[in-house]
Amino acid sequence: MTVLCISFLPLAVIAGDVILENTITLYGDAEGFNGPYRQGQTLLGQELKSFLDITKGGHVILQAGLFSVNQEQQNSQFDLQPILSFKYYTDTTDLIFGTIENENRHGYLEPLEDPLLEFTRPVEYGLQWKEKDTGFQSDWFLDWQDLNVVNQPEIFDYGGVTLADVDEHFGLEFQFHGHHEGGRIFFVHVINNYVPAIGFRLHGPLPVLGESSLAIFGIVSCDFEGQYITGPDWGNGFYARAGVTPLGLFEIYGIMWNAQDFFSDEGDPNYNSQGLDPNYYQASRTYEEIGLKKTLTDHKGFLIDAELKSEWADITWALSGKLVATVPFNMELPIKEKKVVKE
Amino acid sequence: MRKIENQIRQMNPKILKKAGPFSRLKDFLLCFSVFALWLFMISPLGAQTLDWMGQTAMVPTADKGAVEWKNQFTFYGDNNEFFEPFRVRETTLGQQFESFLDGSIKETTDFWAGVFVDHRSAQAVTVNAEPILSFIYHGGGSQFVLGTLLPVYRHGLIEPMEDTTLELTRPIEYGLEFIQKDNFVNLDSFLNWQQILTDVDREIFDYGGSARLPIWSDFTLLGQLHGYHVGGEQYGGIVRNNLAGGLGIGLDENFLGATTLEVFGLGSKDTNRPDYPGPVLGYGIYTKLIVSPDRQWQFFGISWFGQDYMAEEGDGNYNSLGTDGVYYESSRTYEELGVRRFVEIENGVTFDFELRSHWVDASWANSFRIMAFVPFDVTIDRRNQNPAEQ
Repeated sequence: MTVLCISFLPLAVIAGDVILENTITLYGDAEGFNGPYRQGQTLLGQELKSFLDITKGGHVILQAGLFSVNQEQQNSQFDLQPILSFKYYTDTTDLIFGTIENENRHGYLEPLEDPLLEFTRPVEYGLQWKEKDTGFQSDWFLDWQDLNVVNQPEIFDYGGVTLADVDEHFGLEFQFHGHHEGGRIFFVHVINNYVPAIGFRLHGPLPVLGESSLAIFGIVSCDFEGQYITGPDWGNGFYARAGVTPLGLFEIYGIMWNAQDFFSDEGDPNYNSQGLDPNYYQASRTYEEIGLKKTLTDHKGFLIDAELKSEWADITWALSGKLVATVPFNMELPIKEKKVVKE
Repeated sequence: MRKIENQIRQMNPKILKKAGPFSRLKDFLLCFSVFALWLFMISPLGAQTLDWMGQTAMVPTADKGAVEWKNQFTFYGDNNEFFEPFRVRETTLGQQFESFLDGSIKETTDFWAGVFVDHRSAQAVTVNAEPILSFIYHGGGSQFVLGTLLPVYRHGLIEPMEDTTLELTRPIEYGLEFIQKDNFVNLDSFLNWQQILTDVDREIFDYGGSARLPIWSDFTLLGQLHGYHVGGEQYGGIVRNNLAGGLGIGLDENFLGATTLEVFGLGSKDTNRPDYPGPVLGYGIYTKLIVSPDRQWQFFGISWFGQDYMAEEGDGNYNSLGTDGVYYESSRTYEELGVRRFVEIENGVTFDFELRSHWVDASWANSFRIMAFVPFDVTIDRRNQNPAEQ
């Protein structure tokens, strides 16, 4: 709507602090699983994010526009969502109200948030606090997903990721993810799921192996008022990921997961003890993954991300892949805000 | 622009009036930490005025002879944890956007045309878009608005008359409004048509206003009136009315920084409500004290004693009738304590935060509200302006 309004403006209103930001994303994701925890799924689609970026002085940015997504199929419909965001910022801090920033799922590990959410929930609304300074960064948020109306509980998730570097190659990290369903207006069942994780990341260049990394995390899940009656309230898991980049060509990585009674509402189901069938439950779980990953980017923000992986969930094996291309296109608009005259 | 700024400045403080609470510890800890940090970050940037009960706000008008594109973005979060017979827990989180062209046709006449959009924060919700079309006649401290109304602080009505949640759920209205603001009286009166009469719907409208009249020294005479009507004779059906109103005294003193005290005696009349368990007439006494030691942080308290009081659009915590339409408690008490902070960040951008504790008869609950307002106005045509004024 704002974009439409601008198209009617005469050229007299030249020069200002308004930028029209556009990002086109083309993606394809194929999950080969057909086991008890998740089923095979293929996603192909296009996303367009277009919004005005309005600078209000030195500490406030306003964003207003639209996000649209189209899943590739005949007779498909575009899903439109508004982008309305208020950001207060300093050199190290971002406080965001409205449409929040959720690149890379806020930095969550797969057991806390399923990577598929990058395609199925690309826009989130709520509150966010981001901090980034030398040796420290964090991203904490509240994402409101559904309103409490008749026959529908309110749904929101919340949490964040904090990373503190101990030295150049070693950092400690804490993650937390909560998921809530409830709301008392219409007296529906209340569900709460909490998943904290703590661990470290080690990274740096190695001879021949190139840029390498190791991440080790211990994760706990609490499902006091869960949606399933199988399994105990508490669960835990051990997560390890190692990766190398030989000759700088592409990353070869492996993930190992060993868990007991673990359940995360929004995590990758392959890490859970609860199966798709409410009656299927496997207390002790293992999951392994080996993959190849390559990311290409340039100074203009153009990005291609390709990934191929082989997965073992207990005794089930599957092959999955992902390809994402992102093309940004930004434009300064000739709009000048009317000066505010102080009384 | 001055008027716009004044309006925003006055609106923000006021809109902050109601909020929601935290009995869910997880919500509370998460949200409060974010909000507290936010406040901490922006608190050095500005200060609020103690003007939040000076309700009468003029509507924005364009510079003489100009056409202006006016935009306001509002980001809101309101949470309460009420769980008693008069209100139930509710969280409201969303964004609103109003955008309209304001053309100054003559020195005393403006015309608005645009759109208002409200988006509640959620993945799959419909976005409500409503037209903005208004004719404004103004001059000499008076304004007459016909068409879309942009009410500020619920036209100055206090909580027992109009629920503060209406600022978020009914941010624009349609009807008539007359505003007078001068040294003699501050008045905001309106008629808001909510629903037209059809063969399946009854006509619904509300009307009323608030007035402030300086009488002596720091004392002000206060008046409030709110009516709600359901009816329409064309298709038959129920006709019912609810009327609430009263008089009060306000006192502003430079005591403990800046202090404002308002005391109202209110009455209500409710007729033809089906199965209404109470009497037609009711009354209540409302007292509100605001103390701002540094003229930035506002600490306030509200006390309410009600007897069979019932206002259709008032805050349910002040009524004798419960939300289920059956529960009824003749004698009511309600108290509220809170703190509020209003900050002007930069270039007209404001941030408002309020945290409250409520005692509803024997039950207790907390609530909070946060809001950010971002205006963005562009002058797009000055052709009719006097060159000297440009």
